Amino acid sequence: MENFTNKTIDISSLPQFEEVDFQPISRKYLIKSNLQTGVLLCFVLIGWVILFYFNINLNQLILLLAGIVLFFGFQFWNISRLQKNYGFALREKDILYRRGYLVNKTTVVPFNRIQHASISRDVWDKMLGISTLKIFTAGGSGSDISIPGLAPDLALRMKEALAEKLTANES
Amino acid sequence: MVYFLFTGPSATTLIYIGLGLGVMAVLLLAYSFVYYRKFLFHIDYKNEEFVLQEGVFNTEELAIPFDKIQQVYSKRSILQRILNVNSLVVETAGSKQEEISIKAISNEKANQLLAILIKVKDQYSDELSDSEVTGEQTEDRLWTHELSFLTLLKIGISTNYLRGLALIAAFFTTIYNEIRTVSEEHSEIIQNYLDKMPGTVESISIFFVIAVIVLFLSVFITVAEVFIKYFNLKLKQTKNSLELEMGLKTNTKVSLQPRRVQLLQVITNPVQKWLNLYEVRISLANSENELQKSKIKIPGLDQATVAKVNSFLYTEKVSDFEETFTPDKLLLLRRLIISLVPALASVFIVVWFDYIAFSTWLLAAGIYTLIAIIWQILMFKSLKLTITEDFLFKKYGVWNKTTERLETYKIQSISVYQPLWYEKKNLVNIIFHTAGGDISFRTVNKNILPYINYMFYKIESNSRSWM
Repeated sequence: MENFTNKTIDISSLPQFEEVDFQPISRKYLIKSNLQTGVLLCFVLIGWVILFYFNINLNQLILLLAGIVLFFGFQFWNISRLQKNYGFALREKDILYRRGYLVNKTTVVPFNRIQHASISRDVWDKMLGISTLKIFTAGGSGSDISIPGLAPDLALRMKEALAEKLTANES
Repeated sequence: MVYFLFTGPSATTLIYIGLGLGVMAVLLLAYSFVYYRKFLFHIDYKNEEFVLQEGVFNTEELAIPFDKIQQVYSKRSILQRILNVNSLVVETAGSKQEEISIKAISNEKANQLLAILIKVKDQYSDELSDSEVTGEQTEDRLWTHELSFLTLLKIGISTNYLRGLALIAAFFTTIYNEIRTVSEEHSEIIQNYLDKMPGTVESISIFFVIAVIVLFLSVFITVAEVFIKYFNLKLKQTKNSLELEMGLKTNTKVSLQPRRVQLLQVITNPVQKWLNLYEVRISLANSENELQKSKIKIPGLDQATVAKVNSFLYTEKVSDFEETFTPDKLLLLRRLIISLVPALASVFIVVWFDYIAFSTWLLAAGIYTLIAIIWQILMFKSLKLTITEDFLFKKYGVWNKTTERLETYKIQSISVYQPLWYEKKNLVNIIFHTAGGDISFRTVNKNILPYINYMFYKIESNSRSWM
């Protein structure tokens, strides 16, 4: 108790999370998103060609095609916007993750509230050589974060750094 | 299949089917084998965690720090008994993904791993509980609060009289409609009949009696419901926990420790406030799918008892600052637009289909719009977020007024949303995630952010265990 202090804190002098520089994620994630949407587009186009082959109603088909073009146009545009907004930052005591273009969302998870971290890689990730880092808290799904498009060794290093912080916090 | 039944499959089809099944079986076997070979776990003593790797195409690597392990146990099904293997389950607090189960592990290894994990787990939880005992030496004023018969009756009457009113309204409108249609059809007969009737005063009194009976029935049902749920409710404070006991059919017993409490809600409405009745809801830390279950409702507490519950669960300190935030008018606008959509949509129905007269529609839509606007304005005015040194309060509600209380250091994480169209007005939506549910506050000015940073400071500089 000797070195117990209780100073008044000047709130405006505390570190500001909104001023942090975010690190971007790998450009390979852009390729992955585009590939995924591209594959979906292929399937939809095949479906449309089949309909065209059976010659159903030309006017409706043109309308449908316009819909498809609009939807996928928006998707590809949105993907390129999204890519720019993905970002993460590690501070001394917490991790920040930012995403979203139309609705920009930043989640801050303090290290001493992390339950555990894991790395997951799906087939696309393996092909392109990227990883997803998932961080779980006890605050439900809205509070968990998963950062896509990280270089595998970076993801691993981050996971290990987190694990170190987790155990360091307890002592 | 039907085709086969009638004609019998030809030899070539049989061969193809056989080949297909064979290939499938081989692939499945290969998959299982690779899955088996890739399923690895180990204990990392250096980083003090339990690590598990699994997956063939999607590789998942899970690491659970020792101190986050809540429970370790092994279990066996019949098949596992025959094969002489065990399932080892490692449970952690938090969301659904955080449970590990190793399906087939030999007896010997299971026991070994169990012993190691329990040992490291206990080591950490001991350390934790020691520090808590020293930290929680609050005064032990002991008290008991019991719900009397009268209080239960009051709760029953005051919680659901709206339902009663709605029932009466429904009853009268149907009767009125019936009478109108009947009187239009048989106006002469009714006229004759009415002449013989004893008089209008008495027929009105019959209606009145029926209405009272309906109201009484609805109140009776609610009272019965309240009695079954909260019969013999007893709230007892012991030295370090709050013991709650209630229920007629299923007797619930809960022990509330301040440490486990994540969120506290106090709800009342004007009538209940007048009767000095408050309902307290407490959320405890639990895994996601049990969130609903872990909310404990304690109705019928008077103001003094609510204060006692508060002072037991939280250590009150004089706060250096108290900042109250209110939402921007944009939220009201948005809510108004959303609530007026049904009225606008109904225009098309009136225009296209000739169900009701335009004047009737105008009346109904007008009343709806008026009520919706008044309700939304009141709701908007009731929304308040107060931040103090150690706590976060959210107040809302038009009729049922709710106050939510959250201790800052129990926050798990905070999300800040900013849709594009908020940018100009400098607004954000904020969600505070806790282990007992989320608290969200929409369209608040960006000058709240220093306080959010203050919260992070509070969380990150505090080593108290949040559960």
